[in-house]
Amino acid sequence: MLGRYVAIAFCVIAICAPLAFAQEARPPDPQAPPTPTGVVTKQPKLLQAVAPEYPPDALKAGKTADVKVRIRIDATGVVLGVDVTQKVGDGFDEAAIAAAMQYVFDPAEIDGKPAPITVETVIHFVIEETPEPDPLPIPPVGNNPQVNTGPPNHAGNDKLPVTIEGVVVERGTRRKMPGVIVSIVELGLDAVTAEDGSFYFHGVTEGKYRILAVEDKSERLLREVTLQKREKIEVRLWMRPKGGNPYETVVEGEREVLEVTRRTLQRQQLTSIPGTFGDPIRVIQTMPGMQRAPFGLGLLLVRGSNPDDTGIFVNGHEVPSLFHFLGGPSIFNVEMLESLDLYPGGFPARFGRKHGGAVALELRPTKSDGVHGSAKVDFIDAGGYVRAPLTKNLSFAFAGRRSYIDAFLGFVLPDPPAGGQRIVTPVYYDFATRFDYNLHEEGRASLFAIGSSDTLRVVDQDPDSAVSTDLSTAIKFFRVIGGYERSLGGDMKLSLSPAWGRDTITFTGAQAEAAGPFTSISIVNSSLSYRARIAGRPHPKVALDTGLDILSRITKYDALIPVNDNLINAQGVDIPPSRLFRGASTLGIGAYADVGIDVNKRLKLIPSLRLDTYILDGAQRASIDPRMVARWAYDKELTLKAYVGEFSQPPQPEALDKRFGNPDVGIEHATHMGVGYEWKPDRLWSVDSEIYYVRRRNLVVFSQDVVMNDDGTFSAVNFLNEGRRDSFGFEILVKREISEHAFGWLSYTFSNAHQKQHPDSEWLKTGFDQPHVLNAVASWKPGRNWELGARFQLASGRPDTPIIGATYDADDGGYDPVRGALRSVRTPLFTQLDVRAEKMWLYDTWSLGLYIDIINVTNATNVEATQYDYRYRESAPVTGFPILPTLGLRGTW
Amino acid sequence: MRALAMLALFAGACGTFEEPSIVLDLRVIAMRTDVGDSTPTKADQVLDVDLTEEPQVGDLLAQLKETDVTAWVADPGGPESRLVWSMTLCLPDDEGRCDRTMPHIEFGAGEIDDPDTSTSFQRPFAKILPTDSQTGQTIVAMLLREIRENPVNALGGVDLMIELRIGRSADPRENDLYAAKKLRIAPRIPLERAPNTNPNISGIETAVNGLAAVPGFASGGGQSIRCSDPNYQFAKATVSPGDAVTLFPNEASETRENYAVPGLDGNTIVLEESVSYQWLGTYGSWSDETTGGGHDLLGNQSLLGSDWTAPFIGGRDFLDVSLWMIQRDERFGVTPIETCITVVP
Repeated sequence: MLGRYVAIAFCVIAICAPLAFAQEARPPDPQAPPTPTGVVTKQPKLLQAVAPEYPPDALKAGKTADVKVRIRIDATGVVLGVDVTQKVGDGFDEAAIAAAMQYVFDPAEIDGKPAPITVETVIHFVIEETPEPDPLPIPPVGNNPQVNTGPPNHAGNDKLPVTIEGVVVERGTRRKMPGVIVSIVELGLDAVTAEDGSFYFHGVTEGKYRILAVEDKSERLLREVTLQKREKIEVRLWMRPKGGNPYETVVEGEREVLEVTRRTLQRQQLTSIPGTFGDPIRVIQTMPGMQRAPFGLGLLLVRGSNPDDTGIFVNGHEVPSLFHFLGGPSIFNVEMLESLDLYPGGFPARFGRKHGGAVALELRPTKSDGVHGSAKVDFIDAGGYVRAPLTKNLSFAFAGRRSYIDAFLGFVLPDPPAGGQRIVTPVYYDFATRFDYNLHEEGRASLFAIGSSDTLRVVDQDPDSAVSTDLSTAIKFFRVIGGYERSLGGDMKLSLSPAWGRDTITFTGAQAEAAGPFTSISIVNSSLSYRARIAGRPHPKVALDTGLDILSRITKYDALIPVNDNLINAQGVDIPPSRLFRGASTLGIGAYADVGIDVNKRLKLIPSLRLDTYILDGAQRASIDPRMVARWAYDKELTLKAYVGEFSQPPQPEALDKRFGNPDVGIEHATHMGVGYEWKPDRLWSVDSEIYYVRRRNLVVFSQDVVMNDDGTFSAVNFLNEGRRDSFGFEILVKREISEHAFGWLSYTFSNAHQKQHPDSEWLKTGFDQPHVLNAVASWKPGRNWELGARFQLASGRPDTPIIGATYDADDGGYDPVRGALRSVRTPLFTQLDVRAEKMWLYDTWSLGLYIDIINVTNATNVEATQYDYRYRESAPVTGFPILPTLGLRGTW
Repeated sequence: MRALAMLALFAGACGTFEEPSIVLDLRVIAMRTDVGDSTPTKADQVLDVDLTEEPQVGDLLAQLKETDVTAWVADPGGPESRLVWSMTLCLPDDEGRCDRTMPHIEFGAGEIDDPDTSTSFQRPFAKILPTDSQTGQTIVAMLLREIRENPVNALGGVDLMIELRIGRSADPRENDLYAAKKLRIAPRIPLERAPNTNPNISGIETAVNGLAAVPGFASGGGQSIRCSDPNYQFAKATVSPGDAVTLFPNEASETRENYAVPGLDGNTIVLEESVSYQWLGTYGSWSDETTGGGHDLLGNQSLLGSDWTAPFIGGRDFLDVSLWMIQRDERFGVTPIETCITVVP
């Protein structure tokens, strides 16, 4: 039978010279003293080679090639990088690099210890004529296994029974590890563990074997096993993560590029950045485009926008930015998050109703990989996380936290006077739970719920005083988000997600001896939203993300407060409280589409369109927002990008209230535009830079105008669409991806943001304008299970208005300041260095971490504001955090 | 963790400034307007005008009344010095000073002796005389401007501003202090609207350490007396260092008026005045700088009185301490009382 031509490519590894060291390689001298000599005592050995993919055009043309490559190998045998030393073209160079990057080596040794090294080799591409294969031979018996044709986690002759099987788990967390290469060294058999960490070797006969497990984020593991005749053994391989930190280490995910700029933080980064309290929103503040928030608050100040102009979306559903007491910890437990994306401008159309920026929190699916959890304790609160399978297809996770400030506050507060009482009970807690159900071919369903509560009760009564206090506040937040995902075939995916939420804010104030409140406020906000999304690649050159975005929100106000909106000169007037009921409703229906078109290999155009219609407190509004992004790949390392687009944001429905607002208020608009580049010179380093301009108009601003009605009465205007806020700037992010020992980034933003309230007003700097903001973040794992981190912040001061005098107000006994030019000065430059150290102890089934996080380790005095004496003659700075250490303990299993 | 941070923050924000209730140097204590010649005196004016059309200048001029403006000042810490002052009637700018780009008039100026060493009361005092052609025309111009530019505020009453500028005669004028007081001129809308009567007290009760009254205390009848007054020096009210002296104002009858104002919706709103008290002294300390006034958000309405604690005076034989109580209603009505207590070991 005539044979057929097949293309094969193979390589011959030739260890030419250890280029990383000056000395010539020579065998070790057994008589030599054990002093470091820098001599290669063991050459690296190729354990796993991957055949390169033959370039199709070259194969058609019958071309062959030899590609010389230089391979950098780390001390564990993992390939760090590959360079072609003599390029041959026709796609051979790229194919050779791609293959060599997947090699796994038994590492070289220097002075008897594993060490990094660089080797050279040649990968040959040849075309051979091969005969038709003979029928499969009868499976042999004994140590002559055939190449497995089954799943990757099976090796050996799969016609024979499994004699060695096992599972690879991570030490400290018991996480079952997929993608680990498990080899029987003596037989040259390789298996790659499955999602559940399992591997199987078929047909291995009795004998002593060494099992080697290799994975790039873990230390190599070599274990000897003995297999008796007719025996099957099971092994459990515990792999120790490199650097001792059981958390994954990734900086930025790969993108399906349907936006111009997205900056992603993975969950493990959210816990280890000094000075951020493990709070995901605060970590985002270290990215470019973000202004520094005063007093360490978690405000999102994106490219000169107001905090309310940036949306926070959890699985696509907008939520308020919620923190516990006084802008304290975020209610979002990091363990429940998979990733956090910041879109500082030109964001995709699937995020709507905001014209500042977008922050997208993606929730972490639960896994059926056993019971896992973590717990954390510090001085103020304690919390935990657990996840577990309930059935084969159903799994759940739960996270919770509660403060115990109230438990010890009584010890530090002064005792109440005799016959009086003093109670201060601040309590906060939050919880989150998630259920995932695997429907296999029918998709995956999930249900997520999150809630938080902050309550404060203050009672202060002195029998000798006419004044007493009984004050209660409560802020509660609750959301339920459902999700269903399934494949639509090919590369398309359908996501459906309903959500329901209820937020309440209550306040009551009374004298301690009073029977009921003197004043009270209750705000209840109920929301119902629904998202339907279809995303994927309907065509090899087209990526699509389209869907519906529906939001319904009803807010009810019930207040017992002094209301003076009918008084003309209300200053100083003692108005008794009266009951006030108000309500506001929003219905928003949005449809969007982002379409990524690969015009050619280099140019990608992403036209987008978002249509929104609203019914705001009975008034109809609509917006149409077209956008366009272009990305042009100059080469594999450098991509240029540009964008322009319209963004719209509805006013708060309260602004349309017939009594306290203006029913004629309309939609706010903004135009985003910018150009930039992304440069990725190698696997570890990247640079992302952009120049932007944002023009915001029709902003809703407060107005003191009053208009006369037809009947001669007057009405307050309250709000108008007259505001403008423009900003432009430059930002750059230089980032080192996470490797075995380090990660970090340097971000710098230059910006100019200015605004005017009304058309005839003067342009002013915005209240948060900061021309220069620099953030440097670094994390280093020196070994012995230590992780050290530092964050340095440098930012221009915020605009301030000088006070140049004062006038005594003889009608109220106080002084009124005389201001200089508005926002004509700045607070001093802000600098702060935060550090963090964590020591982990790894046990087989759990790990323990002790950390200290020190904010402002140099105790720098940073001025956040200025306070004045009663007649504005003397001033003193209001400073930010002094040096503030926090000690904490966390365990993970 | 965050709460600790915030506590640390607030701790770092505490400044050490002068105590507002202790008068250390040149300071305007109070200003008062007395409109017309009625008794009790009025703090503002109500005119009979029809705002549906622009009022006639002659109608306005005919109704405007003469207004006395008095300022109480103190200068305890500085060198003995005469004080130079001036008063201007104007419309305020955004910073609470006279907007000199709009109609305004300086209606009084002069010098007074050092108010703390003079044996007689030394107070800046001037009259606003609408019968004076320039003054009258200026007031009318200001009223008409407000009626045209801001009809709602005109409906509630046009608040003209009286700006007092005062400084030591030997000092550069840029060191002058400024004080401001509003003079409201309102239309009689609704018809029940009446001028505001300046508040008053019938006397101040005292108690030393919660027991007996201060012997010789001079404000029992609600009258002022000065430490440098020879009569006081002849018969002093004395307390010991560290004594807590309770001062409690007895309000005169009808001090808290019911008054009617127009609402934006055209209806009449009837309110009852609240009255507040500001307490100042040259030495010692006060339990409350201000008392009385409206309700806070919890429903508390503080007591009217305040406790003054006498200072320790070192090796001195005695220390004369000036005390002020400034009574205010919520419609710019003011009555200041000045008195003196002597601390003796």
